[in-house]
Amino acid sequence: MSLAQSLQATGQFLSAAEVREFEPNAGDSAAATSASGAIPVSAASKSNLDPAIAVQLCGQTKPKVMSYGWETGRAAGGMLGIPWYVLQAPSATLLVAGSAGSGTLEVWHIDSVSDELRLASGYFGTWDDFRRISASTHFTKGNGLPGRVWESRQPILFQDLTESGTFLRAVAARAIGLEFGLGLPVEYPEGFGVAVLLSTRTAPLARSIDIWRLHGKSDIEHLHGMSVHESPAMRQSSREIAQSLALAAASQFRPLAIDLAAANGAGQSTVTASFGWAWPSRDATGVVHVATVVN
Amino acid sequence: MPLRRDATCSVNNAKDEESFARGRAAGQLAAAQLQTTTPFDASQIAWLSGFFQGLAAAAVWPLPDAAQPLVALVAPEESQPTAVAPQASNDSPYTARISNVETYVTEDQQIWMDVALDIDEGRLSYRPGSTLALWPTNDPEEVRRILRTLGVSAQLKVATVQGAKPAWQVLLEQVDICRTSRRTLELLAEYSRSDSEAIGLSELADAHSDQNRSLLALLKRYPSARPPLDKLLTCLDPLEPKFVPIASSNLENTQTLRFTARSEAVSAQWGSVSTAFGSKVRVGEWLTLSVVEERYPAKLSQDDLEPVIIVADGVGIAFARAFVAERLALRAKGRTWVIGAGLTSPTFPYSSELSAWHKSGNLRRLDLSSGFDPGSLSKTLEQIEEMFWRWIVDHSRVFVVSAQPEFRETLDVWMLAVLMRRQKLSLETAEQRLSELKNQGIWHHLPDTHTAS
Repeated sequence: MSLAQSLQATGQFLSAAEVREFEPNAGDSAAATSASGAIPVSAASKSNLDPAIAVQLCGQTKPKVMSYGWETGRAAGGMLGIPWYVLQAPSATLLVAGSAGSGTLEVWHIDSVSDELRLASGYFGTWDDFRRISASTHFTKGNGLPGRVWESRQPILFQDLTESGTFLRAVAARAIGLEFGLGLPVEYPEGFGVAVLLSTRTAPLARSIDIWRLHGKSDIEHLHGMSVHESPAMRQSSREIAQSLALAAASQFRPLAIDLAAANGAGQSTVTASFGWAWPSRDATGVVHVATVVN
Repeated sequence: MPLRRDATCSVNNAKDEESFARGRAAGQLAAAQLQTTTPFDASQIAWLSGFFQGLAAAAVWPLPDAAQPLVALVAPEESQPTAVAPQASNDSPYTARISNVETYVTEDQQIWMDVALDIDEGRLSYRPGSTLALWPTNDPEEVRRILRTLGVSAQLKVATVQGAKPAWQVLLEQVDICRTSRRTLELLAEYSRSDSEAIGLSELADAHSDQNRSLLALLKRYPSARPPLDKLLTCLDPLEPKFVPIASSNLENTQTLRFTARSEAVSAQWGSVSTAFGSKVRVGEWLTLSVVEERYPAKLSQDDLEPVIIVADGVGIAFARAFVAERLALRAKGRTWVIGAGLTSPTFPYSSELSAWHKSGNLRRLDLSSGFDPGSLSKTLEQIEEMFWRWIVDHSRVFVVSAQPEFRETLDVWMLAVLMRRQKLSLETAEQRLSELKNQGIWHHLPDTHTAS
C-alpha cells in the first residue's frame, strides 16, 4: 500500500512534506532548487510531491498553492509552497501536499489598496462554493484565522472555526464540515502573507498539531495543541515527536520536515508512514505531525 | 414570458410562430395575474419547477435555465431582454484571480480593459470565438448584515431552481441587493408593523424614485418592515452575468485567459461591463465566470491552409486576437486577415500585438477602420473589395464579429452587393448564395445572437 493510499485509508489530508534548500551561492533560485540539502524524507513521501509543481513552487518569491493531477477534470491534490528567507535571500521552500479532498490549502496576501488580506491562491478540492466565498472574502487585521495570524505574526491553531465569528466564510466552512485550521505567518521581502490549512475532524489534515515557544536555547514550552483520533499513549508519543521537531526548528530557526517512519526504523513500529514538519516564527513554532497506522 | 425571460422554442414556420406568440401572450397574462394577486410561495415554486422539468423531460418544453434562481421566475417589471442573450449557466462557475489589467481610453473617451486571469491548467476549456460570462457577486459583509438585520440564519434553506440553497449563498450570488424595485418597496410596506413606515414606503413605491437604494439601506431605514425571506427574495432582481469576448487561445497559454470589456455607466450590451463592476476589475481580485455554450460554435477548419478573414467591430477585436493566436499555436500555414472596425489605433487592446504579428508575416493583412459611423465602414469595405473577393474565391472562411445587428446587416448587405456585382447574380440568387455560405459555416456571425424572443 502506498503512502497516499494509506493516508486515504485513514482519511488524512496531508500526504507529503519536504523542505528544499537552495544552494548557498546559486544565482537563480528556481534553477538551483534541489533536495540535496533538505532534511531527508522517505521515497514514498517524496513520490506524492508532483515534481513539476514542486519546482514551480520553489521558484516563487511568495507563498503559493498550486493544484496538480488534472486527468479527471478535477485536481487530484494541491501543494503549498512557502519560501523561507535568510537576510532577504531565498534559503529554502517548505512544500506541503494534500492529496485527499478533506481539507483546503490557502494563501492570503495583504492587498495594498484595501490593507486587507485577500485570497491569493488555494486548493479547495471539490468545494467550489467554499472556493467562491473565500475568493470574495477579505480579512482585516485581527479578524478570522488569517487576520489573527496577521496581527500576532505567530502560527495559530483554531480548534473550532466558530472562533472566526459570524463571517459567511465561517458559516460556509461549517456547512461542509471544516472544523479546525492552522494559520502560518509568512514573511517575505515584498510583504507578508498567511498560509492557512483547514480540515474536517473526520478526515483531519494531520494526527496532531502543536504550537511551541522556545525559551533560551533548549527550553521549549508547549503553548497549545490538538490531536485527532489518537489514543492517550499515541498522543504522548506525538507530543514527544513534535517537541523534538519544534526544538530543532526553533533553535536552528528554519523550517524542517522529517520522515519519522524511516527514523524509527522499518518494521519496528506499526506506524508505516509518518512524517512531521515545523514552521518557526519569531515567537512560536507550529508543528504538524502526520502518522498513518496500517497494521 | 415572465416565467422565464430567455426561454426558447424552435419556430419553423409562420404558423408555428403565430401559435408560439399566442401561447406566449396567454402565459404572460396568466403569470401577470398570478403575480398581482398572490406571490408564489416556496411550495408553489417547487411545484412549478417540477412541472416544467416534467414537461422538459417529455421533450415538449425547453428545460428552464438552471442558471436562473427560482426567485427569477418572477420577472421584474422593468427588465427588458438584452440585445444578445447567449446561453450561460453558473451551475459550475469557475473562480479565477485577475493577474493583469491594461486599461485603454479611446479617442471617444470609452474605457476598454484587457484583463488576464490565472486559470489552472486543463480546468477551463474554450475555443476561439468563445464568450465568457462574468457573474457578479455581492459583498459578503453586506450579506451578513442583511441576514443579521432580518434575524435570519445564514444556513436557512431557500428553494431555487438548482435545489435548496443556504440563504447566504442566494443573497451572495443570485439576487441583486444593491438595487431595489417598486415591488420590494411594496412588500416592505405590506409587512411594516409601523403605520408611518408603511406610509413612507408606499409613497416611495408610488414615486418609484428609490430604485438605487440598497436592500440593507431600506431595512435599516425602516426597522419595522421585516417580510419573510422567501417573499423578499422573489422581489429582488436576479444577478445577471455580463458577456465578454475571450481574447486568448487555450493552446497559447494554458494558465492564462484574456478577455476584453468596455466599461460603461450602464452595461447593457455584449462586451461591456458597468462602471461599478469595472472598478472591481483589478489585479488580485477574483472573478466568478463560466464559458458560454454557443449553439453554433465558431470552428476553424481542420485544413490549416484555409485562409481566414475576421471582420471585427469594437471589442470583437478580441475574437480576432484569439483566432490569430490559435492559428499561431497550431502553426497553421493558411493566411489570416483581420479587418477591425470602430477602432482608433493605437488606443485599443491588442493593437501592438496585431501590428507585430502583421509585421512578422503571421498576420497577412491588417486593416483598421477608425471611424464609428457606418459611412467610414462602407468606405473601408469599398477600399478592400477587390482583395476581399480574391480571398473569397480562394475559399476563405469569414467570421463577422459584432454584437451590433446593424454592423452584421451592413456586412451582409455589402456581401450581397459584392456577390451580385462579381457573379452577375440577381438579388434573390445572391441571398440564396449567402444563406448557403452561412449554413456551410463559411460566412459565420459571432457571437451567437440567439435572443429570448
